[in-house]
Amino acid sequence: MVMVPLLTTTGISKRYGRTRALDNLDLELEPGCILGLLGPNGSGKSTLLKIVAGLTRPDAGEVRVLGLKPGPAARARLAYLPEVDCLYRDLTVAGTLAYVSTFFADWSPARAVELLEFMDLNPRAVVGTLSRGMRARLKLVLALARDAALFLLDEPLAGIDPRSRARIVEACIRQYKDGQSMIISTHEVLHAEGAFDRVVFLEAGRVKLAGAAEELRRRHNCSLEALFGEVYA
Amino acid sequence: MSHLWTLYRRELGASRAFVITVPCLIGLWNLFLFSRLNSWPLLVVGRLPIVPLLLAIPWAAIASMQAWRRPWQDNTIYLARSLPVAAWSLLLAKTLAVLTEVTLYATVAVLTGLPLIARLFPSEVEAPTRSILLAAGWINVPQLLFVVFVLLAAGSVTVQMAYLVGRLAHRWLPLVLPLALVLSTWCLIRIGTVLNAMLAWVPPLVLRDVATVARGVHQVRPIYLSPAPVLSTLVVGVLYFCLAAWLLERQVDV
Repeated sequence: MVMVPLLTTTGISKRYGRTRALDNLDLELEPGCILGLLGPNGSGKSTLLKIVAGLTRPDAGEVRVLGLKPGPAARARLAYLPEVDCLYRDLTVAGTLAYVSTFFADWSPARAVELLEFMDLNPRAVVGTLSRGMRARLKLVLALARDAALFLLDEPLAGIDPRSRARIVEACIRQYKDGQSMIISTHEVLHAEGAFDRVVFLEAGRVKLAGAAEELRRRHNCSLEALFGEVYA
Repeated sequence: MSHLWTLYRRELGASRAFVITVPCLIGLWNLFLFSRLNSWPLLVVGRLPIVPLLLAIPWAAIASMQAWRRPWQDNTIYLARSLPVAAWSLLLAKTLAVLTEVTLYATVAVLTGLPLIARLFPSEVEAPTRSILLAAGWINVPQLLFVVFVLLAAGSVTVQMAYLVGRLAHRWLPLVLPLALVLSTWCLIRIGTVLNAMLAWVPPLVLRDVATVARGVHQVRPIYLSPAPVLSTLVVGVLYFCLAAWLLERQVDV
């Protein structure tokens, strides 16, 4: 049986003025895979995820999510966690969850409650009064409380204190089910590397190195974190 | 429909500070004018409540601009654009929220300013005159409200579209935005002029000339207003709305 890819990007390129963010990038993601999108700042990770989520248009190339072009129908099937702090500061934590849940048929209220407890978030707290780290946790709850086919997590560990990072990665893996796929973009490989099935190292919008996480570790005889250091040395 | 309602409520919630502050300021302004009744000339005190109503037009333009500027500034545009809703829903929610804000603003301005404006007119109006004025009001007000709402909505959409055009220019936004605003207003007037001629067949709006009643004439004269300019503005407004929705969905990067 031929496995239909959950995500296909074909030859996508994107420029911001003179800066080339993505350069003829091809990527395919099959169901049931956690992909680590690794690279330093400015390597094109966030741009790629924004294009897949339909927030940014590529200058060239094509993107398909479950066979759909980026748009409202595709957005209903994917959960996107942006890198930036994108929450409404006047809402409470519970108000934010209530607002976002209205739009998604795959929202799981039980999972949202479970995640709130796991992330140690007070539902009555006003978002504007939360610390950066707590707001980052709330963003994760918004993404992970869904039963989406594809999760796009852009720097989920950014702003999270080092002690809590392992806990966040654990939350990501706990919510992950067979048949779903996840792309985790990060440049902090240490805490996340255990979660990856596959990794793609990006540099200047191009794939520098890609493969199965286990195979790369074996071939290079080192951890992905060490490999990250070698690749971008 | 429920998505649109949720987006609309969020838009109002996001501009809550203005929704509460501005009507309060108008109320305070008119209260201040009340306190000046005996010290300032009646002609001045009776006319100054009109100032907030005149400011409603630039206010609508600023609110329309802010409706998009704010989410880009605080990054909530990421959340808004990652929702599975069409761009037109977002645009419509913002337009409705702006119209609601302006309506609230104008209602407070009229309700708190009317007792002051009324002092400009003789206190004892004859009963027949009063009933004629009331009947004329029932005819005039809905038609005038329709005209005002169409113009405000078209104006709001024009400003929003100009902002989205400006976003296409990224860091040149401060330069492109005013140009886009001027150009789209010019287009609105030019296309409107062409459409005016095409819509000449539409029956006129019939209003009642209350000015004659105020002068003591008990026979109310009708005033005929061509709806063509309003309808052509409506048509261009709808075109701009579609264009803005397309820009947001297909062209503007977050």
